[in-house]
Amino acid sequence: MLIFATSDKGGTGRSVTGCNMAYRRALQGEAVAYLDFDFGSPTAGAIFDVPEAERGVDASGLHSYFTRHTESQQLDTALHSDSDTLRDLPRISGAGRLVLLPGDKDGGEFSISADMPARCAQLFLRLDREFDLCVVDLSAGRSYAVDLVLEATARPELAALTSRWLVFHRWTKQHILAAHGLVFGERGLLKAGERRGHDPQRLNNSVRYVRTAVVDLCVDQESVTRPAQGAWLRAYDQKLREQADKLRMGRARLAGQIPFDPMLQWSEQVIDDSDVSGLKIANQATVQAFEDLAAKLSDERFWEGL
Amino acid sequence: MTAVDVSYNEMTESARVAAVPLGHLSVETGRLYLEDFADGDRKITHQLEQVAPWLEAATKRTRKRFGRNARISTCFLVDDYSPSGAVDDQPKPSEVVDIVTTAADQAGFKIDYLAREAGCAVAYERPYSGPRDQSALADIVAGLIVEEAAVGANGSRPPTAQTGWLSNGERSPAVSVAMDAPQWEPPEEFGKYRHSVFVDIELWSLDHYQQSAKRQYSCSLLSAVWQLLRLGLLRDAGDAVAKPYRFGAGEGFPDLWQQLPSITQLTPDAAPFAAYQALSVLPPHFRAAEHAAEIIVDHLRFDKTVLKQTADRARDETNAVTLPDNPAGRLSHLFFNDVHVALND
Amino acid sequence: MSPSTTERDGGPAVPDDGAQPLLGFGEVRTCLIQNLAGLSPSASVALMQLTPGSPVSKVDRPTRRVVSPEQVTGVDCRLHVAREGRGRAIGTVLSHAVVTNGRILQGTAHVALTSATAKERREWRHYLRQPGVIEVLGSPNPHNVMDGYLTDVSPARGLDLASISDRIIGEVQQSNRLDHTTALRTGTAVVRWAATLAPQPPQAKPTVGITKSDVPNFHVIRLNGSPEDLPLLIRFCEEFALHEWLLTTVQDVIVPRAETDIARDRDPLDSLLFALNELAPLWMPPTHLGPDMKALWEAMESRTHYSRLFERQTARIRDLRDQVKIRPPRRY
Ligand SMILES: Nc1ncnc2c1ncn2[C@@H]1O[C@H](COP(=O)(O)OP(=O)(O)O)[C@@H](O)[C@H]1O
Ligand SMILES: [Mg+2]
Repeated sequence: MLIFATSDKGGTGRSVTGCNMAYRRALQGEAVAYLDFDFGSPTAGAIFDVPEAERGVDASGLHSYFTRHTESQQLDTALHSDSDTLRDLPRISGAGRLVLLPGDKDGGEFSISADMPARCAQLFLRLDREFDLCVVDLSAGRSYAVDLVLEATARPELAALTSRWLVFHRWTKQHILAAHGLVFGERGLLKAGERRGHDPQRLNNSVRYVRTAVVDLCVDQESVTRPAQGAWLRAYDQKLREQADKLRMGRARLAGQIPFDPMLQWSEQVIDDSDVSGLKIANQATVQAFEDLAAKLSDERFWEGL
Repeated sequence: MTAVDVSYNEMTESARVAAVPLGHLSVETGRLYLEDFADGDRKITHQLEQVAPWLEAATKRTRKRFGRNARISTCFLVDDYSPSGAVDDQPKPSEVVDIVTTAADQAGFKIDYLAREAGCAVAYERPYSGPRDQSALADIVAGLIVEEAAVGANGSRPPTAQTGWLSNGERSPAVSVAMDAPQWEPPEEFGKYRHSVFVDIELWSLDHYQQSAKRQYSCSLLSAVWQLLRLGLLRDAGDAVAKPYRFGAGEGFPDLWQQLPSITQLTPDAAPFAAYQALSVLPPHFRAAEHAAEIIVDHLRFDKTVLKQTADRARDETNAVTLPDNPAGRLSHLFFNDVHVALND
Repeated sequence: MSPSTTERDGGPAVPDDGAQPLLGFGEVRTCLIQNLAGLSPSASVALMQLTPGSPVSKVDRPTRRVVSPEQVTGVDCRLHVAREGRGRAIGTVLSHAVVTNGRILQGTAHVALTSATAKERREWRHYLRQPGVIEVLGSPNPHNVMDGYLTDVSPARGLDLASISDRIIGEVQQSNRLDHTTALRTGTAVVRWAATLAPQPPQAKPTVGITKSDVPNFHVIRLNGSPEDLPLLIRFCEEFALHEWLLTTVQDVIVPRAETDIARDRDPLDSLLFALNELAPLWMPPTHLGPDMKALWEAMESRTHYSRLFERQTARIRDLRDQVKIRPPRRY
């Protein structure tokens, strides 16, 4: 299965959420590949705490796979990460591998040459032979990376693979509008996909939304001190829900809602139960939200046509 | 007891390669569009009339070198690969054959073989040929192209001939990377002497609007196929291809032009169609495509058996013929057009 | 490149079409064909028809093996030479694909290295006349050239046979003749090999040494033989690669997965049966290919005991299958 993670704006929490989601799937026993397609600013290496890929690798990253025709490195996080969580993954009975395909340090966006979509399809096919799940972390907005994967997934050889899209956005009026524009706008995903041979209806059916860093009014009681404040927040939250519903981004299309977590705010990383129960530095609700999102990826009823 | 080693041969198919009849010289006497014949015999008469003295000279020279019995044949190619008009408007095979033979008679020689350019893209062995007796010759030749390696090519990058272009040198770099756009550099011919003559050849184009994007081959590539047929160098899985077809006494020509085989033999006692040497006498506007065809031929990997077969045959002639080891060396051209004749239309 | 003195002792007979090869290099990749069902014989042949008009070769026994025509790639690059010395390699690399029993796909790139026949690069058609031969300008020691090739990493600094063998796999897997459905999730195994070629006394047999590298799914093979042995050595490496892939797949993918599946109450039967029905029958050491192949294979077996290991794994799979049949998992 291919999961494309995208967002209209940078800094939404797409990478942090995507990495944690990938980790949960690996825990459940799947072989997972995480592809850093954010060619301009690859951050997955930092989130997985892989020092050699901190800001992308020196050579043989995904950027050079396309522009220089080199092979793409596959870094098994159990071997290359400094994070105890990831290093311990193989010791958990039945867990799968979590492999990073990093970006390049001096990447940058590139224009798509004629052979790239086929090369991209070749990469996805190859990974599908080896991995149960591929998470493709795209750069924010309508980038070349998005065009590239739209063109690749429209090719006949990828028709048999399941491709799904997750659009990440923060829980604000502006971010909801922006995410909506990214999908439905004139230069949006559906229009761009249609130009490349996708059926816009089917493409839209493969898109779901993830709300990130949402203030949870039940959990964050310390920060909500005055009753008036609480009332206003609840009312506004309701307004945002109505706005999302109207824009076809409501509950039926909601793949996940990740609570605001102070720990993630400061440290972009993969968290697990020990951060919750042992050190108690992360919230149980956050881990649970990642777990739920991961489960949703293969919940066929959830992805059926709406 | 000693163990007996039984060797086991896995080759299922022996590398059988058919031989084709070969003459000393094949002279191409002209090339016209199929539509040109709809206008009657004006163009072909003019072309054949111009060719006559050169044909005579070439014949003389070949006989002088290889004896009175040197085998010389003539041919004429009709470009029908992408006809502009409707099928019904196309001249009938019998009409075209009439025009060609009459014009040749007038010019004082015979045309032994009439060939179709569409028959170079796909070989039709017989009239009314179906998929069973067809060979995709253009696909075969395109598949034999081995691009010349640029300095530094170590196998990392795929050959660009897959994109439908072949060049005789290194292209000017054009990939634009947003962050580090390269400085412009000129293209460069491989093995150039001081200065380059850089040629980039379009081998085929694809109609992107059609779902089943089929290759539309360029006249450069089709001309390469044509010249290779004339040198007797093409095979399909070891079999000879586009063997000339001779219509029997009572056998009429088909009604439709496309039902004609790739190569039709017009004269009963003709020398072989393919030859050790091929000469084309053509108007100068064919120069570019013929140059391109020659570059294509220079980038093909030929079946060793076919090359050896041909070289051995040549050496065994009564007057031994020594062939150059590059097939393109067996091709000659004469580009000629009378300047005083205005043939505008 | 010049032969070292010991190698010169045999006095290589130089045929008129060029110098004798001193080294043979190659790389083989092995993976599963991306198709739900195994391919029929005719579908395998059609898939291997990579060059129109060139015959595909096919053998039906003991396993069905269909081989594509050789593809030709031009190169002109610096060699990656270990220790000291420099060399420039000009010529063509051959590559082909192999389908075994309609299930396994292999991509092989290979080349024979000779000393250059001229001081500079020659006309392209000269190299086209000897497909699969690379002429080496300069005179690096062949042992350094061999070690350099075997230890080159990605992205390749020298001759990149890895990309060429990878590309042929990628192209075949992209073919519209496949349904692109992954029948079993497994990796691609890589075998890189190099052979020292020198005329041998008549009774001498080719020899082999195999190293497993710390890179997962990567093996390095060193061989010795005479120049005429090259096709045999290429075939040996393909057969080794195929069997190594089978063993790794069964041992590292199928058995552990089935064990976890059983522990987590999931149904492991599909992949167990796949292993028994589709993979186990492919274990067919190529000893029938003649005394030299037999000698190579037995030399390899005596070190690795692959056949015994594979036998043990298939026995384990049968156990697991029986265990599942007796007590089906709850979610089955
Ligand atoms: N659930 C969360 N709670 C709090 N902060 C978060 C959360 N998820 C992400 N962040 C913060 O948001 C910032 C952007 O996250 P990142 O995943 O890099 O975004 P993107 O990939 O969309 O650019 C990071 O600094 C991170 O610490
Ligand atoms: Mg990011």
